[in-house]
Amino acid sequence: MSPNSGFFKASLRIICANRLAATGALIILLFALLALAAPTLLRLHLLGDPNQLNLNGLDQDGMPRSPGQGYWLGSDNLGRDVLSRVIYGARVSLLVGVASMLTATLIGVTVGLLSGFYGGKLDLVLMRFTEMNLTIPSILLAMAFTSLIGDNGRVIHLHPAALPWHFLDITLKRGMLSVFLVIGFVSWPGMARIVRAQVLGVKEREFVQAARALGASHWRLIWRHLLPNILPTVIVLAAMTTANTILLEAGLGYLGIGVPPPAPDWGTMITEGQPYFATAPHLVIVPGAAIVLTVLAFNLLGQGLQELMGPRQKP
Amino acid sequence: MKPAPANLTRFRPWLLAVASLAAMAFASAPAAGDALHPGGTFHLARADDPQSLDPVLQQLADDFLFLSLLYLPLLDNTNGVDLVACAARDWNTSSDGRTFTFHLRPDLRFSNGRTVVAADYAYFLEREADPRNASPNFALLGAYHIRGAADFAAHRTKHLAGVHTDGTQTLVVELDQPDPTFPFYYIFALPQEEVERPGDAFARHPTGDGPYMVDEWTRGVRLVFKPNPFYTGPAPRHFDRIEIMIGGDEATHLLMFERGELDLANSTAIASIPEPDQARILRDPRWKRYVERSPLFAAHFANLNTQMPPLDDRRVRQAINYAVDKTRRAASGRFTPAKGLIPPCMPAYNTNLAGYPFDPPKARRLLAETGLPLPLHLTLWYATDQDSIMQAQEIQADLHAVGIELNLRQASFSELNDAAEIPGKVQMSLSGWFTSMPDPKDILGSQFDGRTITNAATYNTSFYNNPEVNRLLDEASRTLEPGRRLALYRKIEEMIVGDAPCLFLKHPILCELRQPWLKGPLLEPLWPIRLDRVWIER
Repeated sequence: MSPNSGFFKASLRIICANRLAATGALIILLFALLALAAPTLLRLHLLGDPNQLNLNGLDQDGMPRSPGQGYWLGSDNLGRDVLSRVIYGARVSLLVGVASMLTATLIGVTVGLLSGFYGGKLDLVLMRFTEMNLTIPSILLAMAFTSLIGDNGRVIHLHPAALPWHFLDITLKRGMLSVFLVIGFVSWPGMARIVRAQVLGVKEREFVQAARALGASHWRLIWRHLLPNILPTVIVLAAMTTANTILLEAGLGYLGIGVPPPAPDWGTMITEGQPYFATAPHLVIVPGAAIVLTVLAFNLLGQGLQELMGPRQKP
Repeated sequence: MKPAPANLTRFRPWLLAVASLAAMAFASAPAAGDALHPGGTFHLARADDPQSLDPVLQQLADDFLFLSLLYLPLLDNTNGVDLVACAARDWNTSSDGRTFTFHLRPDLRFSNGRTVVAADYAYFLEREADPRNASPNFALLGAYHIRGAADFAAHRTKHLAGVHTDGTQTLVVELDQPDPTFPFYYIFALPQEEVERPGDAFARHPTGDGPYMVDEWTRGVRLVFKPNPFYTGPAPRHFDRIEIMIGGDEATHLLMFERGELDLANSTAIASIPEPDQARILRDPRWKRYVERSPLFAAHFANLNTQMPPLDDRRVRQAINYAVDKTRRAASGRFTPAKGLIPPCMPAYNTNLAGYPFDPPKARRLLAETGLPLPLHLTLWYATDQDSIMQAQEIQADLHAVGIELNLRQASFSELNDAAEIPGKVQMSLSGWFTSMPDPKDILGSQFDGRTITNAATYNTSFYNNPEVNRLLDEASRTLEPGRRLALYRKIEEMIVGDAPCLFLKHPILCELRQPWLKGPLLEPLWPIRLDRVWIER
């Protein structure tokens, strides 16, 4: 048996041991499976094309069809299959949500570790910067970043302007990549503060002091002693951060600055369906329910994991 | 607001013969609604304040409904095509079609009590023709070539040589070249002493000779009109007060209407009942009898910048036209699919024009002929309103099916307009044109005359320049004989449609909802919502 299979079995056991975590994981798994299988379902004609404007998708008055009238979850204002768009929307939301979470985790853990471990002026600078970011609502910050990228894209130079190292240029265009980077860049401060607090506690523990006394390098202390001990906290935070990043992604889509059309996006679906709320409420309810379920699932997972891992953090 | 309320100006035209006959018929006829229906307060709501209440600075088609309350034009029209005398008692046109003489009603007075004289109309024309006033109607008036307009605009003369008065009751306007559409240009009386008050006092509280005057205007909150105590115009006044709430969106306004707080559901000439609610309203026995529709003298299209590759290739532009299904959502009854530019309700409409039927295979063939590598990548700019968003996504889906990937670029209406006027900036933009006359001169000449392409802003946002079309536009504009004139404009339209500088989309139909107690003619194809012609009868 490989060490990996052992890890997965252990994880599964931990999740199954907690009803909250299990429920959350199940919902996430369902959405993830549907999202992954969507292209196959499309090829097998079990699912409609999410961007296809169906001729019979509108009734004789040119209005969206209600659920059941040839479309399981109805059609939208352009005659597109809502079920298909919600499932394809899950691809966008989950991918952007998880990628943003990873970006935020990478930045947050790095900042928190460095700040907590080294302390002093570095801590002062990093924490003031973190707090400055915390004072600005993340949706506003995300909107500002998105507008900086603009619809035509923006080239970011990762090298001094004087040097012609254009291989370090990154062209950011409005799309999934830019959206998850933007969300990732505005979602890290909370994690950084908690990681720093954890590091401040762990680094004073005896085993860390012992390793330090034995001459362990800073890198070794961080990598082998601090990081494994704050990992449970990071995992819980990551699950909860994913709920936030998915919500933020939907928010940007709702404001019309998320993933550009025709990509199905839950937030955009709500915006487009909102004027039809009185006559075709499914256009808002279906994507809204998808957002609520996914966010709830990640929060349940995070809460469940916290309950499972919390006691181990006690001294 | 609609995607591209095109010619956001005001005014209209049509044949000289019809005009003259109409003048004779209507000059002595009783005004519409001669039986008085006075009284009551009319309630309306709209999203934004009017740009200005000064007719020289007024631009949006939306704001025309306010002008009809505050000012009397020399000539007005009914049904969009029939000219009727208004502030002018009668008028005549010289045999060469260059000189227009208007005889005023003798008893008209401004809301400050002063008698209206011919010089007040001359002052209005000179204000519009003076570039220092930055009137949005400057170009439109310029297209009529009033004698001496160029010298006046360059400040070489103090007055327009072609505009003069004969006593206090006669106004004469001379053009450099014949133009039968000139009577459709709205000419108002402006009291110079009031206009020249310091600041923007006149734009906010204007003095006009119309049936109403401004009582209160709190920007973003309320605009209230009260009766002009000196009004002696030809048409009766119907309301004691007109209250316009400023703010809210169209859905909110519809809810207010259904609660009986408004007399009209929609207050803008370029919008309709919100599309999502239309079917519900039409099925509701309480309201369906009070839904009123009117086709508009308007066209919606997407400009295809003929100077930017790959749209500089006519086959690509034609392919785009074949690839897009214009009949989708036509069942809603909110528009007629377009074959060209001239709307079906306009006398010059060409029933024989084939246009571009939905034919994706033909679109693919045309694209293949160009030899360009597919997919082609294009960018479409569009405004933020619901209709534009839906239209843009429909075009995107249709073009994707033939191998054109469309990047959608959303922009505010003003940003879109400004960007589209810059050469080489915008490949495609959703746009439209609300014509100011029932004659094709406006919709064809303003947008497709290649000589209007300069470094400055231009309405020709397809940057289309066909010398033969330019020549025919000149010839048609000068032609007085109605049959010949229409034939020329139809030929011009055929040439433009053949060159496909636009993706021809639709001709809008206004869908309005009124309360049962609101009576009188309301909708017209040219300036659809006429508050001066309706009354309350409970």
